[in-house]
Amino acid sequence: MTSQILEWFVSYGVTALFFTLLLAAIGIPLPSSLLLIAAGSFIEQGELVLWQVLLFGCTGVILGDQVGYGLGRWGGRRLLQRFAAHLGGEDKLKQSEAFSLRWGGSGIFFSRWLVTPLGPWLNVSSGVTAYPWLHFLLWDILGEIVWVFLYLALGYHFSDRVQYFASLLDNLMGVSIGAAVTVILGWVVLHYFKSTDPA
Amino acid sequence: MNKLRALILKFKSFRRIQKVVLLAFLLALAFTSVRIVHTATDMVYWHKHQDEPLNNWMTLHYVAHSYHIPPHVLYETLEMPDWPPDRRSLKELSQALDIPLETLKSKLQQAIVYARPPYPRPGPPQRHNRERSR
Repeated sequence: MTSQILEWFVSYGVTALFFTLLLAAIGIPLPSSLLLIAAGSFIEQGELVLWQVLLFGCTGVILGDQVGYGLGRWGGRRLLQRFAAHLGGEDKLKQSEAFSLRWGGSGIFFSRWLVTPLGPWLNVSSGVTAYPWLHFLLWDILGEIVWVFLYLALGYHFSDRVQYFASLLDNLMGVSIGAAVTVILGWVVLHYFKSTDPA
Repeated sequence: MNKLRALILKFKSFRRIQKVVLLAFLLALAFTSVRIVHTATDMVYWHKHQDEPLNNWMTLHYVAHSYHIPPHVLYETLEMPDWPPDRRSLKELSQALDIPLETLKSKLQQAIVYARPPYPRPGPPQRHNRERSR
């Protein structure tokens, strides 16, 4: 699958980049980071032009993020409200909206380029919790520009070893997310075992 | 053995929420450890194998760039003009030249071997190779 996407990218250039980044932002598991690294390498070799890659890449991913937000806002939210009305979780919904408003911006920004696997989830959850769209768009644009530039720069710098760096980054991303979840759960374990006595 | 039994008994005495959280924590710890080992072995592998294996998506220029050899060596081995640069992937090239992909890759691999030490550095592109494309 990954090799096939890269073949399309070699054949169709920035158009393939646009659609891959758009679909990946919606949540379809496509190797978008690898494609950006490859694009950086092709820029270094003079086969692609930087401004075109930036334009098509950023537009694709930002549009995809808006689709995810829209799905959450007009699909997921309605569904959740219906559930909340039946099950009586309206106060929880209000709480999560407040949390989203308080922390949403930095969450959106960092999930664009630092913990990218969380990106599609955050798009939908921002929509569900009705995070203001203009704020979402602003943080989204800022974060995605950082992501696109960062990965293009990596590809440009390590242009002769695209596959290696893509695989290394993928592994490191897994390690960082795993470590973050482990630390949070570790904290929860300590909290539960300190505050409550067994049985 | 007694210690293990004591541990199991202690685990059984936990409330359900404590069990769930503890198990989730252990799972996350196992996942992270596996990823760390995976990353380390990957790094060792790439350190030992400096070259990327030839892949269907690569272009002749990318292969030349990745293996640090002049691109015209690859064009010459496929009896193709090296100008204008060919932007097709190896898979597309194999279809266009009507050569099985694996044969194309092994031809390139052989050319790469002869273009690198201990063999002498390849000279400039042959003149007729460029003229053929005019």
